[in-house]
Amino acid sequence: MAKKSYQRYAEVPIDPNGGTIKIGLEFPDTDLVCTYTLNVREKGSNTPISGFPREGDNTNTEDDEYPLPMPSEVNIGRRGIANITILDQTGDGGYYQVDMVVMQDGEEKGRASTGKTKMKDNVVTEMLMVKLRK
Amino acid sequence: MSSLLQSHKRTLRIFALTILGTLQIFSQSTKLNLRDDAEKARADFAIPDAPAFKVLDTIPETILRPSTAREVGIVISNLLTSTSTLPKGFALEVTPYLLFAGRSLSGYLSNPFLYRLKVSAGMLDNQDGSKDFGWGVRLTIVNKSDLRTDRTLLDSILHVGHEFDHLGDIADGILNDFDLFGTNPAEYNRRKQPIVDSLKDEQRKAMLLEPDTSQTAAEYFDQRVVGLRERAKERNWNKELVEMALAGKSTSSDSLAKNLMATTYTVWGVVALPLDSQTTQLVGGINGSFEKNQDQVIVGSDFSLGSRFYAGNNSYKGFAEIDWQLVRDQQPFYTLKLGGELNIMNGIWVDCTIGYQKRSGDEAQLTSGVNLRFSTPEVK
Repeated sequence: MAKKSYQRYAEVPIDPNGGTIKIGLEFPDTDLVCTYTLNVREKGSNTPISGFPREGDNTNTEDDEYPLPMPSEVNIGRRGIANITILDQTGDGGYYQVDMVVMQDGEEKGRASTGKTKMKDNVVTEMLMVKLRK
Repeated sequence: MSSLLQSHKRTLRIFALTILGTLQIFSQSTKLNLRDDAEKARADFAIPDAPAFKVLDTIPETILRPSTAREVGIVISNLLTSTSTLPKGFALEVTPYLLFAGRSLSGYLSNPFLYRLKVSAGMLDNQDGSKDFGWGVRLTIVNKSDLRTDRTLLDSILHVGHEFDHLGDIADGILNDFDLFGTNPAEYNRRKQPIVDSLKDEQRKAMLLEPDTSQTAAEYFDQRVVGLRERAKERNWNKELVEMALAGKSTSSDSLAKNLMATTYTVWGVVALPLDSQTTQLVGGINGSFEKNQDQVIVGSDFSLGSRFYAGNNSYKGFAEIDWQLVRDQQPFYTLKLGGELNIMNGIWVDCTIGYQKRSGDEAQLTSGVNLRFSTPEVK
């Protein structure tokens, strides 16, 4: 079976006339501590949009998912950028995977991912980015 | 002060390694006078990770550790494919909850008992053509020394993580070249790193600390995590622990699965309690097993009970132990021991004991032992 390829950057097509867009982070298959700052920046600028940046981690069961402003078309060209830190709280090492997922009307529109990665230090940083387009 | 402590630790480690060889020779010579069954007269305080392999009295070279329910299905299917004949041998260890719920930190924090439950199974060929089949279950009911569930450590680690994320986010704003990340993420990160390093020093200044340009931000945060973890280990080494394991062994007189017959059952249990905040611990262990013959008549059994008192810290500790063991059709054994445990280097422990052992009606004997124990080394 071919190995699945992962990209830390993804251009994600959205429907400008569709419903609410949500950007979220997922932490499949890891028991290492992961924290993040998620920012959404304006098109062609480094200015964050209202309500961002947001912070979170993988120690609770709440969804790490954040809605973007409506109408959806205002989000075209905006970038979602996550700075993620993975921390080894036991010293046993392990693997992690962090995905940044874009949803619209409950449907996945695209994702950026670290892929399954072996923890090589006590602290590792990752960055994921999605750019929303028509 | 810190370098003095480090030097003290190094001296102790070198001293431990030097005396290890001497003690090993001494321990071998005294052991020559001991009977095999007397050697067993001690409680087992270590609950086996995979009780099935313990009951089969073997450590398999290859242990299958499927991590998804699908992989378990494939393993079982492979074992059963060739007619009804049992395979030559296998060893399997699984965490059932992990298979179905997936690995998740929030899941582990909500249900640590289910995530720690392990099931093992194994098969071994005997010289007479028969096969031994072992199964085992390991339960960790309470483990307050588990770093993963230590709320104080977790909160501190989350704080470190958020600080690092925040610096990364500010650095993105300063670099302001997001198209570069889309085309060449490695180059983007190369340009971003010195900005993050310099922001780390700005942060230290804001906290009224001296900036330290000799360390990168990654090294600085790494060092903080290691420090937090070491302090948590010192704080937790003597915390409450309740563990138990059950195992059974069945024998098949030929290579067919349908002739399996249960022969041995074993149970282990350990309870550990702190007697004060960080320097002492009392551990109680219980271990029992019985063996049946082909006519389902009990032909052998043994039972042991022990208690060990520890004083020290996570790296060096002394102990005093009392054990009692009852073997079917034999007089009970009693053992008194004194000893110490020393963490000589990452993942390696030396365990030295000297003891007094007596069986009712026999003369008392002096015993000694030096063991090296290995655990998974930590990432430093």
